[in-house]
Amino acid sequence: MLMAGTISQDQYSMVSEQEEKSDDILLQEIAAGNAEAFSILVHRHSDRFYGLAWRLTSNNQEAEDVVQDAFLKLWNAPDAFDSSKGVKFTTWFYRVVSNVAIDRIRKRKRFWVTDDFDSHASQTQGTEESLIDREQQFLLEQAIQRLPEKQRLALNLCFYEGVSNKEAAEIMGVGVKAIESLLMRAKSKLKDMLVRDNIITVKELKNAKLG
Amino acid sequence: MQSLDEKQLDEILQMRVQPQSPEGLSERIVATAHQRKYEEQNKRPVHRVGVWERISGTIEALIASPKPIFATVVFVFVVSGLFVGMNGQTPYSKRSNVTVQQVSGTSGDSVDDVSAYVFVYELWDVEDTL
Repeated sequence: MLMAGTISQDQYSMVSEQEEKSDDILLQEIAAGNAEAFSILVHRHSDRFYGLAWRLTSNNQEAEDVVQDAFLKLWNAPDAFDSSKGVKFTTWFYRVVSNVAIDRIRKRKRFWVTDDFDSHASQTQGTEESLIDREQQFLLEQAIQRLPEKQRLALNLCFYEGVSNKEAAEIMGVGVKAIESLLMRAKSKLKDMLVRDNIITVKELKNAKLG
Repeated sequence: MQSLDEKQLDEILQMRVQPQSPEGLSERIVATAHQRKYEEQNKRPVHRVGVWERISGTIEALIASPKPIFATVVFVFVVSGLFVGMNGQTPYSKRSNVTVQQVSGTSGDSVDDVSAYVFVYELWDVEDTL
């Protein structure tokens, strides 16, 4: 019993030791064929990259496939990431995920906001407020999906993923000024679309009701 | 037409749905990666056997048999028997070394004409039998 306890403690300490390793070290171990290191890296980052994949595709299954494809690419060719260039793993992998997602979007050639939208939408059901929320969220999602590809990616990275303009520039392979310009144009276009689709009216109604 | 200021727009953008990753996503990715690796490791290399390899293999097998000459003769008989059996008798019109004169005894007839003669002759033959 004591022995079993000691072993499990050892195992626990080994696991926590692995989990504390930096992304760069894990990637070196993955390159050497360490499946455990790959598992830790996937568990550490899959939620974050799923977020971007879903925001780009607006589809549960497609977002899952995008994240899986991106991680399998890494598993098959871990040398593709070169830490000597001074790029963070997350920055590089955001680029991989966004490229995989954009490829899929181009293949389907049209955008849609599917029923999957409901699974993430406002959870409060039945009330008038929740219906307004859902309608607003749906129209907002449609408006964002209608943005041009680069503007949409810049907005998703900087506004929703909390990535800095400099990092977003590295991810998209453009300059910081270009990112600023893309964000400005994206917001300007969204303003026009939101006003046209009356989202602002619904919002104001809601504010008035709350006030 | 109403207008939106920057702050209002940011508020609206914050209303966007927050995606939540499905349960077990990481486990599925890791399992798929392991499965792919396993499949790659267990994939047998496909070796294509060429014509010369087949011929040399057959010759080697004949030489290695206890009675090589007998085995070779039997093999040749079997192969030629199968060849003839599968192809059947070659019709006159398809025999390259048979001339029209040899078939009909007349000159100037085409191969199609000869086929027609043969057909008519066969009809007479049938009538005689009847």
